[in-house]
Amino acid sequence: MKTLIKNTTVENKKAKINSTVKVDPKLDEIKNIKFTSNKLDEVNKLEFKLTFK
Amino acid sequence: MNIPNYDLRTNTEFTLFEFKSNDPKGEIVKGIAYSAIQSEVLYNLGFGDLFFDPIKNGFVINDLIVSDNADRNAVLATVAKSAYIFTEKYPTRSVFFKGSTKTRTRLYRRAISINLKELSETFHIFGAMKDENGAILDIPFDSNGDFYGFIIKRKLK
Repeated sequence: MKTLIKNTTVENKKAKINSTVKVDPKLDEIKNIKFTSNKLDEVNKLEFKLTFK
Repeated sequence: MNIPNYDLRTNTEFTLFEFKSNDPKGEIVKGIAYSAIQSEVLYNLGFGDLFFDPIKNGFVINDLIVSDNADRNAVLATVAKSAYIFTEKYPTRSVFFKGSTKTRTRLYRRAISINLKELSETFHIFGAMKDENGAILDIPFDSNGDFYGFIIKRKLK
């Protein structure tokens, strides 16, 4: 599991305008990702009253 | 987008993205995660350095770290690109994001302001503010607004 990232190759390491997006099923192995901050917990406790107007 | 950004990898659900930030200081693996907030129509965008935590025996996104790399714009452009991809896949899902600090939230406001015209071609953009009871309201984005966070909703064709 922890070698998931190390085994990955990136086609081009430089930032560029025409960058690519690749679907990699290996990333599906990462479940229930945690964050260092408690931001998501904080946000989950909020009430959202959204109107999108 | 007209700002250089990094190649992305995504899981098959397009809820987790990974890329490698690269500058003279070195390569940093970054993660972007979209997590449902209370329902399946509003998602939190979180990003930072992605690493495996042996204590938690799982992957963690460090969203508090200050990488101090010289590629901040490329990193933010890459995160923005993921939002385009996520909402293209799920056009009815809106995305909420805020900085892990007030300084970062202001940075995001500035980044939105600079790219507002281009972003507005694809998204409705709102500032998130708390009402007197602490509930989050969405109001039209204002470059001078003191927002708690931001919400983007893809314009439906």
